Amino acid sequence: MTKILAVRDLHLAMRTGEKLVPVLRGINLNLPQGEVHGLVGESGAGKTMLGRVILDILPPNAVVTAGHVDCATTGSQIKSGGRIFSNRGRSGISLIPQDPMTSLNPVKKIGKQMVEILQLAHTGPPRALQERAEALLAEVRIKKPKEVLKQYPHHLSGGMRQRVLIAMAFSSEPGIIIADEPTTALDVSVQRRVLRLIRDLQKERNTTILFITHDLGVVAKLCDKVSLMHSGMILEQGLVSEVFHSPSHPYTRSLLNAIPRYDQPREKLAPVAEDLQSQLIDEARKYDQQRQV
Amino acid sequence: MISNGKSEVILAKRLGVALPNTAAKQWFQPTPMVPILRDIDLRAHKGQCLGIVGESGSGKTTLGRALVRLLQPTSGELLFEGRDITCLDEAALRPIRNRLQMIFQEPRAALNPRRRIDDAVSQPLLTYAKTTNNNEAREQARELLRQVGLDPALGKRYPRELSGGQLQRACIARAISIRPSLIVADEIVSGLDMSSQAQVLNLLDELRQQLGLCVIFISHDLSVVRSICDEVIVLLDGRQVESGPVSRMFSRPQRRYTRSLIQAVPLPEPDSDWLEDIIDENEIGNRVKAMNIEGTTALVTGTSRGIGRELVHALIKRGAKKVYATARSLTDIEDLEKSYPGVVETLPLDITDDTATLETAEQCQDVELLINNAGVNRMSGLLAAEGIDGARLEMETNYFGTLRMCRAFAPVLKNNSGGCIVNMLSVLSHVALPLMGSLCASKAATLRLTEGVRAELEASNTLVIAVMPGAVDTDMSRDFPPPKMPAAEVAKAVLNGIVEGQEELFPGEMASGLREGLKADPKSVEKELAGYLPG
Repeated sequence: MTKILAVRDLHLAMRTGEKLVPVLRGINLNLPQGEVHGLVGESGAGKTMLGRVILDILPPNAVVTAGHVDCATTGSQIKSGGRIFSNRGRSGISLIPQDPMTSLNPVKKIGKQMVEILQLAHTGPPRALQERAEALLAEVRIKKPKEVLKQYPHHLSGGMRQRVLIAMAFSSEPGIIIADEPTTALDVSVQRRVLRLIRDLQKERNTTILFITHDLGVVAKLCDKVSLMHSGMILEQGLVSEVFHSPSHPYTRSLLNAIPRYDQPREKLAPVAEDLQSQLIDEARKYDQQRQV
Repeated sequence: MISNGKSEVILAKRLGVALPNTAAKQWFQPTPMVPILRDIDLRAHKGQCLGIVGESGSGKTTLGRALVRLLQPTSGELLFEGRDITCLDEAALRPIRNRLQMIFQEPRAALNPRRRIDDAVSQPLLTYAKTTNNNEAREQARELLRQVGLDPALGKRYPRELSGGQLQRACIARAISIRPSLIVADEIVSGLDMSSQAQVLNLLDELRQQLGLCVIFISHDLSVVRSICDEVIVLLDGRQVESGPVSRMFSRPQRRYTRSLIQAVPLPEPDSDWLEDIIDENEIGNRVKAMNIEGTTALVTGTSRGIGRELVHALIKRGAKKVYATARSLTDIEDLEKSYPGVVETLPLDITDDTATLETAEQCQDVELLINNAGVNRMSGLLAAEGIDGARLEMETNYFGTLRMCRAFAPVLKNNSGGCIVNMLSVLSHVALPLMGSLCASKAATLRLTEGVRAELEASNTLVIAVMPGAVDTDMSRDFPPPKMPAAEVAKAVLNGIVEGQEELFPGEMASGLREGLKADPKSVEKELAGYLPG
């Protein structure tokens, strides 16, 4: 299988005043074409930051300190000190954002917003783009695409808005998609349908997806491989079937135990233990010291 | 829900809430009201945790807000600690406000970004004059923060400096600061990651036990509800779909909707098929009342042969917990009990006998699904018959028998929070065949009976289905010319209809074709049928 995305020993830091605070510590990630890769961790683990490096939409104070990201679909390389883009440009990669409420422009109609996105990757008369937008909405199983194009975001439910964002993400036929918690804001039944939609579109187009989430349940149902992150490091990486059946890292086991389950009799939930948390943070600190030496 | 004598902290009887639809307001007209909640019954005791679950837009939050009287109910009764608070105004509510608290989904939005945490937590103490001294209030706030597992030093920080999990704990501290007896927790963990979620849930559970709090826990995630609630009510479109103890709800949900909610929770076990079996909700007729057959207890009449017998087989195949099979003579159905020991219980029952039907209802208190299948056909014309005894027998069995059963079992179903009644009719309910005019009359009467029962049970959450097959391959229609539908196919269609919440079923091509024909051109259908069975 061809490699679509390769992250090599990536280090990222945030500049706060004079100091550089490490955020990502030696990330390695390989995504072949057509793989759905789950990226799991608690809040603050650095999942979203990793997604933003790959998308090249880092905040201004973030610095790649070592390593590089190679993305075949955009022909780009992102490394310390700058980035190289080929003429294929950014249309080879897109993002499905988390919050469907804030990711759409509230004062523009859905149709207008979609055409704006389509113009980036396609040329053609406005009417053709409008028709393309309609077809895309039908593809994400929105019932009356013509009417939805004329509506504003606040007319749509959360699930519908997320479908619109998915349609936009797939509109440029990207080879890779970063999905950053796309279903966290949805209720369980809508989540299930949106996940199904993402999976179907992915299968049809053989798209590579990096699926960022804190929900191990979603990863178990959707992804082929999984990486578990804590304090900017990947602690465990492997096939979903293997990691869930025989987790090797104590943190993975601990996260799996923290999930409430409806199929088991009620018992006290076990959050990740404080000492394990602090032990992992200590390890991250030690890693930083060793690198400086 | 059972009252078991303890005094309830909160009790709602047939609670309804309507909200103004400002978008549809016209000049000089009163604002139209949209019903959001209908006929909600719930009760919760001291120290109990009651879950409210449902999809987005089902009315969970509206119910939560009505319970703490942030909204005014428009119908029904709401009792808090035995006192009617349905219509109290703001001034009358003030003395009890401190005992009704709500925790919101977004802690960042619930806390003032410009106030330090300890100020936010101590504010209720000052407002409700638990103390008048600022320093003392802050001291108490620090103690409260410790109680919810936060470092008291965090009290000096602003909300933006804390994580979501920490903020939600601060909100809990603020809610318990004035010793409430009822806390409504509205999706308090949906914004948190797994580990913080477990911490916050454990904290809420400990506080509930320590302080004897009554907690109403609103969530769309049934796994979370399972881990902390004792009882749960399920909402859909502002109606109560079902309610009961959490363990029962999860082991055998009565409604298909509850089951689909449970199945929508992704368990952390690799399974790519999980995304495959999603049902299109548009195929569901009545989503609120659609049943789940797995684990249900059913009673089927007329099981000695034909459709009745096939229904028993089909119910067991679909995972029914128990089936009461009845027939006039026990010897005809003995073999059913033998082939499904422990699952099928056979009972002798003559549905033309008043006392017998009532006794059977008394005996079968756990029935959730009643299938009225027994019926007779004398194959006689209205005028050609020798007397009216045949017609009377058909009416007595087909119409009055069904009515007796409905009357006897309606209270049983009500006790089991709704359930379903299926009346086996025939397309003949819609037409008159010359050779069996009296049967057609009895079936037509039973169709109206079914519609009447459905209307009476509208609010009680019972699904009432009329099944109208065409010619079926049974003894009853042995004189019909083919094509005839196999009885097993009819049974299958009935069970599908129950699961899909369809109120009228026309199984088979003949029945559905006839129905279309009746819609398009009733006269020609009647003409055609008159020649269908030549005298």
